[in-house]
Amino acid sequence: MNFSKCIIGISQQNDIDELLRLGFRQFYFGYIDKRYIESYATQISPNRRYRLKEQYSSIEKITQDITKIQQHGGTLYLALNAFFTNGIILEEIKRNFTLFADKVDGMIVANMPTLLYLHSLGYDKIVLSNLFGFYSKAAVAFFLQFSPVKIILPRDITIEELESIVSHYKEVQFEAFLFGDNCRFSEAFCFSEHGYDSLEFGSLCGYAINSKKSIEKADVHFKHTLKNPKLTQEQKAAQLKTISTNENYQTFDKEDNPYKIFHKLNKTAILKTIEIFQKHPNIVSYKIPSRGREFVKFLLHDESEPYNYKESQYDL
Amino acid sequence: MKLYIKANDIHTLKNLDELLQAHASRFEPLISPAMHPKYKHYYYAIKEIQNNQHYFYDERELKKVIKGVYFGNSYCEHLLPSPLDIAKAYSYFNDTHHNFVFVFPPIGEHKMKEAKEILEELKRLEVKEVVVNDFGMLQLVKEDFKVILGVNFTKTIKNAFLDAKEPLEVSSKQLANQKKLTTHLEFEIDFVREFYKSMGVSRVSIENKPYDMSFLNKKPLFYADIYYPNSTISHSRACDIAGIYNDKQTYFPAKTCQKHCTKTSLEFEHSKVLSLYQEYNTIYKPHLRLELPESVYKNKRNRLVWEVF
Repeated sequence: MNFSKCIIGISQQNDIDELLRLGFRQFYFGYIDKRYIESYATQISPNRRYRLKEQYSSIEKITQDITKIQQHGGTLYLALNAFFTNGIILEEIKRNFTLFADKVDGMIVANMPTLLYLHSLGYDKIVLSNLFGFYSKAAVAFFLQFSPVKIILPRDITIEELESIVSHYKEVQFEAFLFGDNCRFSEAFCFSEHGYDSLEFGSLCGYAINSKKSIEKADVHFKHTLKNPKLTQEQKAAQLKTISTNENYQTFDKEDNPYKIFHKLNKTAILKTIEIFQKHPNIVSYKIPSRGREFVKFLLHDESEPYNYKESQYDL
Repeated sequence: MKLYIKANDIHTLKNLDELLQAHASRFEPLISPAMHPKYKHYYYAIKEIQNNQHYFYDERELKKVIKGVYFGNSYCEHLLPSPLDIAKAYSYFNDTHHNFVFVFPPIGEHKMKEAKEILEELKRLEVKEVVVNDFGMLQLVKEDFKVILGVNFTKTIKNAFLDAKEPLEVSSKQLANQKKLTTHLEFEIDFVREFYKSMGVSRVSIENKPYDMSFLNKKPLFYADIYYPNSTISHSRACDIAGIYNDKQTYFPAKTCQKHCTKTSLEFEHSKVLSLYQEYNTIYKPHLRLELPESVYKNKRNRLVWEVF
């Protein structure tokens, strides 16, 4: 498989030499300073990652990796893509920008303060994150005022929507997810905490699918029940209680439920996706998300497998 | 501040007269652990509003206190009301004493045609204010309407689990610092407010949580819509209500949805501890306590937007 158009997230734990040997030439990373970790830990970092192992915290290590990437003619972006920010986080983002501005090929931005700040400096290598929610042509239109070098489309977009957007904006460069890597919610509108492994609930999306209980929706007309003189108190209480409807969907709540194995890897699906992306030369980067770098070796297997819609990022 | 009602659909408006009365003597004897959580949230919220009517400088019955409606489902694009329902909703508040505001959810490309049809209807009805919850809709409405930035623009981390349990991998000092981070919004930064002001925006939606809202007192001035009582933890195209009824479609309903959420909600295994629920495509937590700073409720241009049901 040709990885030259794939962009992959890297961290301190990566073997850059191996990725370069495989043919990767586009990379992105997040950096978190040890001083920041001391005050705030890692779960709310200046980038979108929540765990130390998913980021760099050593200037020496990232400098070495930057040098290797540049020697191979690769490109590297710094993720300043904290999905929210404020006066405090912005100061940290500014520090990271200053630290790496002349070392990387661009900055990935996911919030308005960072975008406005970089734009005010005249910085012209801004990549706009999927966290801005590029679900429509109109969303792209809004951000063209900032002259981004690239726009990253969301994970949970249909192929039809994706092609509609990239065909309409042929002069704009896009990055699209090759697979979602278990992030099944709409990232631009998901505000849940991540990275607290000791809480044992896991991620919200995983918890939701494993713990959900279907109940009848509350009835907006319930005051009629309250005021109905023909009903006893017991009858009223029965009408207002939580009523399970689990039996209505028992059939689908089984082990191979697609919603439980969301965004897993199906090599055939990925290859079909690449075929579609290749029809659009302005999709310049096929995104392998940060945690997905572990799955790269899977893509090198020779075995093919049937297309499985349940394991596909897109409905192909 | 002014009190507004948020109605996700026409049925809420049709039942508004009843919903604006607590009926405490009938309701309270029925409260039990078995009661649907939504009814309890509704009741505790209306009591809280009645106990805090000093916010509105108006102690009359709530029906006379409300200044208008925010109409529209702010969560899911599949639940956009029809132009006919919008016209009906508008007719309930079509007088000089009440204001009608339309609320959009985040809109994807598949739903843009419907969204544009709604905009045409809003223009026909001479609706002035529109709430947007994504940048695409902001782009479409900013020239023709007074834009209100929805809660999706006041992003921060909203804990699904953390409030119920302390994590082991973070010290208490780090946790306190993290909490401080999550109570500050990007609108405290002057140039962010200036940017939105430059396109005529000066109102932003903030959920009812203890956020630092001191920026509301600083120029360039912004006004707040305080959304009460629910806080959105996540709303997503991958909808577990849509998913439980159909394993043939992809992980999210794309162009069409059978809208099982109009009859089904979700609770979770630990809902009673976590206070976590799902309606439509949205996982949320109610925050029923109203404790707004005086500087917020004393400003008559701020609004409490009460999602009454």
